[in-house]
Amino acid sequence: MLELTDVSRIYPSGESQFYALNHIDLTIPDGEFVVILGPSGSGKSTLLNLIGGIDQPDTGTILVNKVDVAKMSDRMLTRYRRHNLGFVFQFNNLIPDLTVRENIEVTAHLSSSAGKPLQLLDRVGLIDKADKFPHQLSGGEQQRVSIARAIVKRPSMLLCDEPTGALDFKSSLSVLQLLEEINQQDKTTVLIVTHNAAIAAMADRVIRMRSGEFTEITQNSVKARADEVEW
Amino acid sequence: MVLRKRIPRQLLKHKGRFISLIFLIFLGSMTLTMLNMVVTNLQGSFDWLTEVGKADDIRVWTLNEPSNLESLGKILNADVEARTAVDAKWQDDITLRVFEVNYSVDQPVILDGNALQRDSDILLDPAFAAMQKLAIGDTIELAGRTFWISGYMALPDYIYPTHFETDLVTDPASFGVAVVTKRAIMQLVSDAPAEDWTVDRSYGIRFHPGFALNQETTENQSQTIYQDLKDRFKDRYGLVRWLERKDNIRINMVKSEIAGQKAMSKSLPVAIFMINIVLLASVLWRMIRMEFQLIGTLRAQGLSKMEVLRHYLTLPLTLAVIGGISGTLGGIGVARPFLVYYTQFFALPLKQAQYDPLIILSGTLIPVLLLGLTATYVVMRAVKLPPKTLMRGFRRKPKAMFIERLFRFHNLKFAMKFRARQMVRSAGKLFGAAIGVAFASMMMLTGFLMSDSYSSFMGDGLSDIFQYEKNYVFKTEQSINRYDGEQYQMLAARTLDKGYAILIEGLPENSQLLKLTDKSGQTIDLKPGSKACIITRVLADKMKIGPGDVISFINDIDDEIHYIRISGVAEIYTLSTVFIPLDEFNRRFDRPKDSFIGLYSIQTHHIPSEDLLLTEDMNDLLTSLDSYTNLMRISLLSIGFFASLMALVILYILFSLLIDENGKTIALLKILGYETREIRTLMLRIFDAPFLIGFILGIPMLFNFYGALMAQSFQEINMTMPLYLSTKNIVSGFAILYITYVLTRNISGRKILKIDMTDVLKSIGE
Ligand SMILES: Nc1ncnc2c1ncn2[C@@H]1O[C@H](COP(=O)(O)OP(=O)(O)OP(=O)(O)O)[C@@H](O)[C@H]1O
Ligand SMILES: [Mg+2]
Repeated sequence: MLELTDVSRIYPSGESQFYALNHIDLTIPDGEFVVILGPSGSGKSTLLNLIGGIDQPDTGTILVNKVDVAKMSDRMLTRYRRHNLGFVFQFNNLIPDLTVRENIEVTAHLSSSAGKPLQLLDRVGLIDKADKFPHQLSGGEQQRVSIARAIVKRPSMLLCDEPTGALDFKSSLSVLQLLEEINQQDKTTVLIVTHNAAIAAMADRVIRMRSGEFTEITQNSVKARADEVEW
Repeated sequence: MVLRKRIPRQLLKHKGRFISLIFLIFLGSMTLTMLNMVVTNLQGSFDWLTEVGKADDIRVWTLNEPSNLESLGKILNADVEARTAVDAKWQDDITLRVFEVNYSVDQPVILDGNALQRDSDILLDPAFAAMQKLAIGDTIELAGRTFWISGYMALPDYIYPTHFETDLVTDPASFGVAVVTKRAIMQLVSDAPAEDWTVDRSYGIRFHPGFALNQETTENQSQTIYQDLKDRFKDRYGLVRWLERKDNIRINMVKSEIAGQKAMSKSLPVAIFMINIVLLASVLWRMIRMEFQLIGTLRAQGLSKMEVLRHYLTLPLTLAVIGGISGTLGGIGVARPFLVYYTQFFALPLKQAQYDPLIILSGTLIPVLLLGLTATYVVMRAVKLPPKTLMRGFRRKPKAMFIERLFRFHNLKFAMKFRARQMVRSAGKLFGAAIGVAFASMMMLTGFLMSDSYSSFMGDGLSDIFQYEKNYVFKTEQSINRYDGEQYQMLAARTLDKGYAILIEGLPENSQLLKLTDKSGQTIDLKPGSKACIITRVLADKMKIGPGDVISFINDIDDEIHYIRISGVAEIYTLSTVFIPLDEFNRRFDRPKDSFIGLYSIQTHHIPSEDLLLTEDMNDLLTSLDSYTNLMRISLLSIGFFASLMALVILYILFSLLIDENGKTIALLKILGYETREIRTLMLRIFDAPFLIGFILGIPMLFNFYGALMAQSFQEINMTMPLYLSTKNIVSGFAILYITYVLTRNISGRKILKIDMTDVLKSIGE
């Protein structure tokens, strides 16, 4: 269970203050598939970073299973990220001079309950690329590797910032299918930030943002399957 | 150009790194300027003193007073002047060697104050005056007479005023030299208490210009002239001693120090500048790599290669100019105290310190030139590429793959594998670290090497060999021994090959007071009647001879050439001596059967001073050595301090580059939940191995370097010093450097904390 209450992120802007997030409240039950939509600069990444514990709010509380992330020390945040979270970014951020398998080992190494890197690669359909370096893979393949890297340690929540932002339609589709499968089979909570309104059809819940505020939160009664999404 | 505004911003952003670079440039430029200034000034005042003070070419001691010195001078085309010296016991343990003032040979050169005007005036050597807290205008009392100190002086044949010729170091606490008028010296001689004071009279010979016989070209010529002259003295006046300038240890000690400094003035700055070049190149290349796209854009917009080059040279040149100028100024600043120290130590005149414009200019220009060229090379590597290549950004060649196949990384554990990859990527930096640490370890261990070598050489080395308390040398050969002790024979000789001055000494069997031991510490025996012939280590090294070889020499007494087969080498590092059995000595050189010239003794004897040529006191020597080593320890401590500072700066630059280059990876690891400590282990500990290798490498480098340096500076004097470094001190040196290393690693580790995780998400990986 994730509960945000009165969360703000403020940047100084000359004399006044700029609210990248403006007193936000939000509750997400475990296992939900959430899509956050909004124009550039609306505060989507800021929100994700706060939830992910790589940035800290200026007001409010962020409770993860009743523990306030906003009050954690650096060390506790590290442990929180280590044991609870998986990240996927727009630019996949694989380490260029480690092989595909080693890139997954980087996170597998962190947790004793982590899965086997090769099994994960099999799952994302890239077992034959295990000993390649990232630059030898296509963008979609790279993104699938970074998803494998994020879920190898079996996180309870997967945070994805524009996971398909740099991909063409076909690659995007395989990435979305993978995320859907993770959500359904592993019961992992998935938060996806995107520009792409079409993806909203897959979500349990859709959050629309503008200027650091939620303009609309809708609950989908019927979810589309990933392969039904089109744009 | 607006671009110029970036330079102060860049400087500020990486200020630690740039300050470190400036510091290293400063250090290089400072040592360059300082050492060169010290060397040229020392050499200059040495030459000046020799010239102005009319240094003797030869000094002789005779049994009978030569009759007419003036006519002798005319015949020789030389100035000949007699000089009386009195060893006065000024205080209980303090000897003042008072010379009669000379005017045509070995004239005292006034360093401060006034020349002698009255018979109650006295000139002192400045180191003695300083140590005894005697100022110009003070008085001192000698044999009941009061002398006014009218000034300080330097004597050209006593530049390094040691008490005895066998002394290695001066000790102004117990010995000094002074000069008084001719009349005053006569009074001192007549007032001298016969027991304690010794009187000595010698003749200085200085050839007229054109007859300067010390140049290489006239070597043979001078040999024959000298030989004639020596014969003349021998036949007419009874020659006791003959000392040529090139064999005068009180001069050679200084020449040797200058030679050592000269070698140092070349190698030390070169090494520092080399490190500078490597580090600047890495820092600059890192900057340029980041800006490939910018350079491409600038070029595409029509800026010429020269303009781009000029922009990127501004920063390194600024560093070089700041470091160079401040280093030169610093060098000039510290050169003066150094010079003052040296000139006091050696009793050399410190005239106005010469600020050779060439040295000052090169102190700044050399770093600017070296670093400018390095920077040009680095920048051109990028600028010469076509704009469209540059616009794509810097692409690293995947060298990892090749090494991958070589080492089979994938069999390693994850952390090992990660570090192995990192090491392959950072090979250049690791190499730089190893070299830097090797250099720092050389500097660090220099102090320990010197103090270990000196203490083994002087502590055990000397007192194990020289067991006597007193060494009495008689003026004439003795036949009946009235005193307790070991009698020995001795004469001066010159080797046929190369003409080295050596001593031939006849020792009794199994001498207890002068112990000859071989390399393994075994006592070497000189059996009476045997053909044993032992040479010292100094002589063996200098002439490159050993057991089985034949040493040939001309002796001073009968001028005959002698050949003796060497049977062993004694580990003595301070004398060039050939030891043979005493009876064999007397037989070979036709001396009466039981005659001897000197006596080693463990007790003090009251021998009339007119019978003695000199008395040597072992205790004096050992205490003066002690004070000398203590003095040295302080200066070596400061070298050690500089070494760790250098190590710190070098490592800091490398660490900060490493963290900078891997900023993205580090941010990513942080996001994934790695703790700072774990990241530090993964990223920064790749320097552990190069650190260790560098330190270990530094040890043989150190021995090689100082071996060569010693060979060069000891050429002039009859001495070698075996280099020795104790395990204890290697460990201490390692510990100090290791602490420096860990400290730097942890300081750099803090940078990891500062890396912003959100930054990394906004852009594409490098
Ligand atoms: N370090 C910062 N300093 C000042 N303002 C910042 C900083 N980081 C983000 N902002 C501002 O906060 C706002 C929200 O940024 P955020 O990155 O969350 O937007 P976003 O919705 O993710 O946009 P995009 O779709 O382009 O990724 C932006 O207006 C941005 O200018
Ligand atoms: Mg964003």
